[in-house]
Amino acid sequence: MLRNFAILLVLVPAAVLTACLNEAGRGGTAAAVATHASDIRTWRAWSGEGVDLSGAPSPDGKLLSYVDWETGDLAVRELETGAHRRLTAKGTWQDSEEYALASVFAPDGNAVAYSWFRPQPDQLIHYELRVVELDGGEPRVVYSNPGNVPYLVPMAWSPDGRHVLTVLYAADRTTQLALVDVASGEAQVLKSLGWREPGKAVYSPDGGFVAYDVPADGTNSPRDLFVLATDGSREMPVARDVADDRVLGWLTSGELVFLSDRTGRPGIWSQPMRAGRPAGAATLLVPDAWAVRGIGAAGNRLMYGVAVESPRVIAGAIDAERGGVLVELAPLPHQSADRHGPLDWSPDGRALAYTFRAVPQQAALMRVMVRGADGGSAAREIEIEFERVRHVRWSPDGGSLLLVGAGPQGRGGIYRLVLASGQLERIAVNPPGATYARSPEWDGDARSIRFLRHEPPPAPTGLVSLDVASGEERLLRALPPGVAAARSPDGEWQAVIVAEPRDRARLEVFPADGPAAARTLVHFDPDDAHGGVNWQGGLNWTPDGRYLIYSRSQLDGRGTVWAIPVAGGEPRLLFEDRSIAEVRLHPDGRRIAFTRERERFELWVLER
Amino acid sequence: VTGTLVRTGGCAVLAVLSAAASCTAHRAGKAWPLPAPAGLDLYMPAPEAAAITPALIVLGQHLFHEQRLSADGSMSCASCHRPDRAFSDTVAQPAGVYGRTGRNTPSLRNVGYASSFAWDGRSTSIEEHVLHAISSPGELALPLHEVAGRLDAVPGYRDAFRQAFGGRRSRRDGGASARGDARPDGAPDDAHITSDRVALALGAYIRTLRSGDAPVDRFRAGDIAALGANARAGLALFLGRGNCAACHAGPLLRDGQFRNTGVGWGGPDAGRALVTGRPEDRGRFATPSLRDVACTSPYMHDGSMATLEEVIDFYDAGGGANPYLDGEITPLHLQPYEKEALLAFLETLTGAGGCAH
Repeated sequence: MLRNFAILLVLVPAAVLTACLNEAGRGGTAAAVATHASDIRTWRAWSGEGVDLSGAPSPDGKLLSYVDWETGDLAVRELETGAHRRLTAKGTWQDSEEYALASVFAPDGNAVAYSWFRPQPDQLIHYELRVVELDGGEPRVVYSNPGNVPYLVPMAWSPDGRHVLTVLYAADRTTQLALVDVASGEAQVLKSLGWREPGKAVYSPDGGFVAYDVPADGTNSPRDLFVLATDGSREMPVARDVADDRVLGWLTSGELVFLSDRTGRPGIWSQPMRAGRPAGAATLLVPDAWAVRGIGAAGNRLMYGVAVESPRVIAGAIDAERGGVLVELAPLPHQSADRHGPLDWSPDGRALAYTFRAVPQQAALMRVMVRGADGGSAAREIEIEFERVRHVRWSPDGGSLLLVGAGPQGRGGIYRLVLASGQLERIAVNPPGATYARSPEWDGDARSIRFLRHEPPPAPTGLVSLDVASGEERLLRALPPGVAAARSPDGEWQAVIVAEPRDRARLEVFPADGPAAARTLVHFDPDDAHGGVNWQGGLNWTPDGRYLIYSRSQLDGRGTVWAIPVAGGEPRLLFEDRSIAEVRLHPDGRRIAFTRERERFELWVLER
Repeated sequence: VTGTLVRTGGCAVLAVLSAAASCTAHRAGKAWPLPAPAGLDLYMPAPEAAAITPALIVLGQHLFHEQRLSADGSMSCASCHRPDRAFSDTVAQPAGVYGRTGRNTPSLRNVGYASSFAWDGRSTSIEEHVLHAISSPGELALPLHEVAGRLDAVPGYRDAFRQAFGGRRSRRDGGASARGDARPDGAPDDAHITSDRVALALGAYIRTLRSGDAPVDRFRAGDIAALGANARAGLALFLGRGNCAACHAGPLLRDGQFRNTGVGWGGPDAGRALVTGRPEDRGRFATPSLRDVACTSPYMHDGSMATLEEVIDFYDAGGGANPYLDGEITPLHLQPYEKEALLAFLETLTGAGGCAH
């Protein structure tokens, strides 16, 4: 019932997510070539629309596995010709909400191991490890552990073909580097990493070692790089310093290639290795490698992605009554490679707060930016120990922000950031198996928060109220899984967008504190010209309570934002954009802002 | 070598030990890495100073029971880390040779996976902590410079050390020989006994004390029937509303952190602050592993709680109020049936070997 991106946003690590949120479509091949050191050659292998970097290259470097987001199927692309084909056939999104995510090639190039989202009746989030042959045949489930391992990421296939090095995300949110036996499905944990999330892990060419990177401390700090023997006999730090170091690939020449900002600027480095130990000094291969993420190695070729467009906060002004925009939408000024997240206007309308991650230290702490509502100079930046943020909501008194997402220790829940002190307080933790609270907002008395809760059965799904002081939660109204909610400015009415079967949804309004029947304003159907509901689009009332602002989206990422009269009438189109995430309306009812989550990559190849 | 054998007397036992250690298979055998029981990591940190071999482990096991490592010859490591009690103790605060540690004896099972040792984390390696325990007045109280002489006087130990360290030289070696028998190049010979080598041997043995393959491990591996309904409800509480997994997480059900639960607050033990000197670390102690927790009563760093029921009640009430109480600890308002479920879950954490193995 939940659309793919909705699930993605509740659990999937940001590194994977960035690749998944690329828009569907067809890109071409490109031939841009750049030169660096005398023996280094790099060239662009795939660019344009539809570049998806969730997969890995085949051992001969000719193919790339990826997710075809038109359906969510696993696919492969011939890098030379651009030809592509699906390896799975799940049907449309209406047929099935299942989808593929991360994938790696077998060492003989004849099969792909991949994670597959397959929710269970009592588990909203469940991924399993599957293998499919390139020449056809039914996919085979290799590892599935509902409840205990809700999420997993295949990282690399062992050179001997026996194991898939996989990161298992346990129910207690800790992670484990595990060797999953391809034949038996048994998982041997190589090393547990606590709440730290590995970025990328690769095998040495001889299969005797794996290299991986993890935050040095806590869940969200610059990363260090380690090499671990696959028989568990020893581990060696390769890059353990204040810099952010990330694995990119291990070449057959024995060089471990990694991304590091050790010079103060990000670059691609090579570390010669022998028997799992550094053999000599690391050398800089490519300087100024901004916004790079690892894909993997094929022989002595390294493949990596370069972000050419990052999520940005977009602001403008709308005319809810007549439709259209009053002020053209434009990105806020900010360093171009920074990745912006959710946002909100302050209750007095004078400031805008949003989360962002800065480059070059891509793993550095997420920050909250508070700046003037006119997009002017930054008033304040506050570091927060968050892996991902789903919602930002300003408190009625303007003194704090509600943050919903994965906070310290990767724990999903609702947090309060006190702006004066920068202190982060936990308000509530997600129950096991629950998705993040959606559309939180303070009640008028500022003592309780209401939000949409989605838990596995038999827990009720719906609109709940949480008393912050006591932690007591009360179900206000049972609802189908919710997309977004908003209470009217006078507090009398509650608007919600809730899911319906086959990827449909509806916007309805009912009294905020009563059992009266709901009145449906809009039905959303993915087959409509403007697409279905935008699961990330949010919901706003205009200050006069006359209009509701919502968003629709299409599979290719195109989105539209609408205003519909609450009293009845046709919706007005306000504007079109791409990858629209949670629209927030300014208290003046005109200014509007959202995060354009569109993130585009190019695939590059490096060869010595 | 069993505890019973060890207690029969040094010479006889060392003869057995020597014979075992001189077995070709043991001497040449590859012991590391050890197989990991279900639920535990394959990788366990170990010093590269001495390769872990069966001979080194056997020597360490013997030293673990060696009462000559205490000042008055009355105690060994095993006096408090009792093998029949999951290598913990039955008393709240055991007495050392010259007094008390003032702390409860933590289990040694799976301690090889840790990166800090003792309730206040004062040691960063097993070997470092072993030497601390031997020399501490509140524990075995034997000055380290006396260690080599004590053991050197016992026939068999030199052979055992030769078997354990033969052909290698520890990076930590280099101290003067108790008998002045260093090799011409100044390095100790293979039979040389030093406190550092004692620590390496004890460390090798302690790393073998693993406990896994508990019902919870089988459940986590996908065998739903491994936990009964009540224990499964307890697990859900443990992960959810009980907030236990905020600290007791991962395969060892510990987080490697130091937490202030309010236990012993106001008492003489400053906890982690003894190491860091920071006031805010006062009252913080290492999060213990919960594996085999049903075998390791009494509980808490001071052994002040006799049963798991008391522990659950303590956390249900929100811990012990103090200015530095850990933010994870808040009143839980558990119902009696929920406490029973939590208890049922905690009892599934006992490894396949039970409390004694």
